[in-house]
Amino acid sequence: MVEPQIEPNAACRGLTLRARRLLERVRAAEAADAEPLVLMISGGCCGGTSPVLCRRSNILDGFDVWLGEADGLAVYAHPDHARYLQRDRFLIDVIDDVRSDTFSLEVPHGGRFVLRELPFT
Amino acid sequence: MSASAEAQSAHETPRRYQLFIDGKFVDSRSGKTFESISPHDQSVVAVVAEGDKADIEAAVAAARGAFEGPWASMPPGERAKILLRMADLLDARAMALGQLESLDMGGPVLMTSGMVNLAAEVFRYWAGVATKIHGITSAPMRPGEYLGYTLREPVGVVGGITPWNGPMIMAAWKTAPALACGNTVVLKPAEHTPMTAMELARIGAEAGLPEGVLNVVPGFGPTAGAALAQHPGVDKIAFTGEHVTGRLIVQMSVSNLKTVTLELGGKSPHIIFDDVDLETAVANALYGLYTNTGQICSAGTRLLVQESIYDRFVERFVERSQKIAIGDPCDFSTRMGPLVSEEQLRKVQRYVEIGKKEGATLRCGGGQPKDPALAKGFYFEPTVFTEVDNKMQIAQEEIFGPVASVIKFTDEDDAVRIGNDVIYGLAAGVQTKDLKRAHRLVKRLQAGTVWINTWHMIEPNSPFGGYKLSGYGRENGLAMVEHLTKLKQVWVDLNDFTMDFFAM
Repeated sequence: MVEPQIEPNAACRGLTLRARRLLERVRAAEAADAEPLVLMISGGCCGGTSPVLCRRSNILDGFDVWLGEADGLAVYAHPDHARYLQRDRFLIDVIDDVRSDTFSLEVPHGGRFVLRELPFT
Repeated sequence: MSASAEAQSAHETPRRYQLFIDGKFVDSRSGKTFESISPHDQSVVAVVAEGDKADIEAAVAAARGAFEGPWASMPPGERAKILLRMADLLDARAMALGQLESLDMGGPVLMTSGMVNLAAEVFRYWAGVATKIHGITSAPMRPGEYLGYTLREPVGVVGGITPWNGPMIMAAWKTAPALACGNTVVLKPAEHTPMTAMELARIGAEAGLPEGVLNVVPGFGPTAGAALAQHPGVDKIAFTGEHVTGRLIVQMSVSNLKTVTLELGGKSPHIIFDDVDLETAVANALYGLYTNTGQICSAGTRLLVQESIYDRFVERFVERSQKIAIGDPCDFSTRMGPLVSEEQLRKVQRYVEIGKKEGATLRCGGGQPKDPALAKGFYFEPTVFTEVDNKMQIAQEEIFGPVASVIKFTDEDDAVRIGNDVIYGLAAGVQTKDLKRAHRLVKRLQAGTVWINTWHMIEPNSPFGGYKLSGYGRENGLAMVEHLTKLKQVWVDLNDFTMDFFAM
């Protein structure tokens, strides 16, 4: 697997191997003409800050803030939330328990994306 | 009572739950099920039918049929009687339902059984409202020439998507007001905690709700939840959860421009001035923060303490935090149970790492308790960070766990500035003996609820909801009638002559 190129200042430092595999499973189940997937970092009731896998068209161009990209998966957040997340350094990881209150699209594919903290760089 | 909660003791598991559609318990069309596990020991407490789009379609069709059939033509007083019977059944089963909820969610049974009683009060309140929903007589600009009046009519089929942190009370908030206003309901309970919503379906049937009036479809967000949010046959969605999913629901709601109300969490400031009684202030702060292991959207997670009492407050708050009785949520002596899930545990652990990285001082907690009896559970110690700057992530993001961020402030203006400097605006609180100051702060704090010298007061007659990214719309209180009804203006000409504009 080719190592993804990570922007030096991006908050999202990439996907763990397990996260890549889950993403591949989601993509394999997609129609050929499916709209690209993206991650939006959510927060609030019952979840705390957590990634939500959704469609490119769910992102508001010129408003939502880009936090990095790995494996062709761009990561965004609401600008008020991004003010804090931009300083953070995290990986996208996976846990097996798919019970979560989210609409995140990976859930039917046997895993749930979570953030894993990295030391500040 | 029948095959409901009380027939099964708390630890006799796993239970089996089907979907409840059109007055019947049925398997999901896919045949799929999922497990609900106890956060205390990870044992399987229930095997639950997993609904998806096809089941949501059936539930919406049943709800539409009931809305256009028996429910719409039922006199409001009859609807009220059914809601009152549901309230009585909830009270009668409060202990058993509390045990179920504690098994599923991990909240201490002392609290969860009380929440069932509160859910009963919600049904009782809305039973009273059911007979009082009416329009107004318009004030005519030309009195005597015409009569104008308004009718309040139900919106139709209401979808409710509830979170795991208060399964029964959230199901009551999403259900009772909608039914009282003459709507029918499709409820999708949270994946972690589906049991008590299914028991509510059973109670509704026993109380005499006609078939299809209340449908409960457990399932996952991207399948069942999204199908409900997108469905053009759903007229209104009420959602409690995280803000990106709230936004996705708004985007999906354009399918038929359905009404949406959202409650999306908070990071509520609990402002403690130096004129308070220290013991009372600490007790209120503990209650505001650690109730339900910190898993309440309106928890007072940012403790803003005036600098002159900061050290004394922290010392006592840490001391009391370390003495909280953590244990099996089904035990009545427990005051704090586990977090709901591994996911939640991971998130809380991540925030402890972030807090340390950001330079806050970890004064107590920060990990899982050492008690071997709790080793299999998602338990987490009461955790206190001091010397927290409000710009830190632990002060800005909803952690949803037993983690306090204690922040110093100098004066009233400083407290307001810090209190409002957050993306959410669900709740805020002020502790002071100075009544004038308290009310000045009430005006200046950007939050849907402000508590003075108390916390977590939530009653069926009082609107609850947020400012800013905490969402819009309210739950509880008569304000909800606005969300759950449509307004129709009626005109009646009283003149005895023909107004013939095109007579020429």
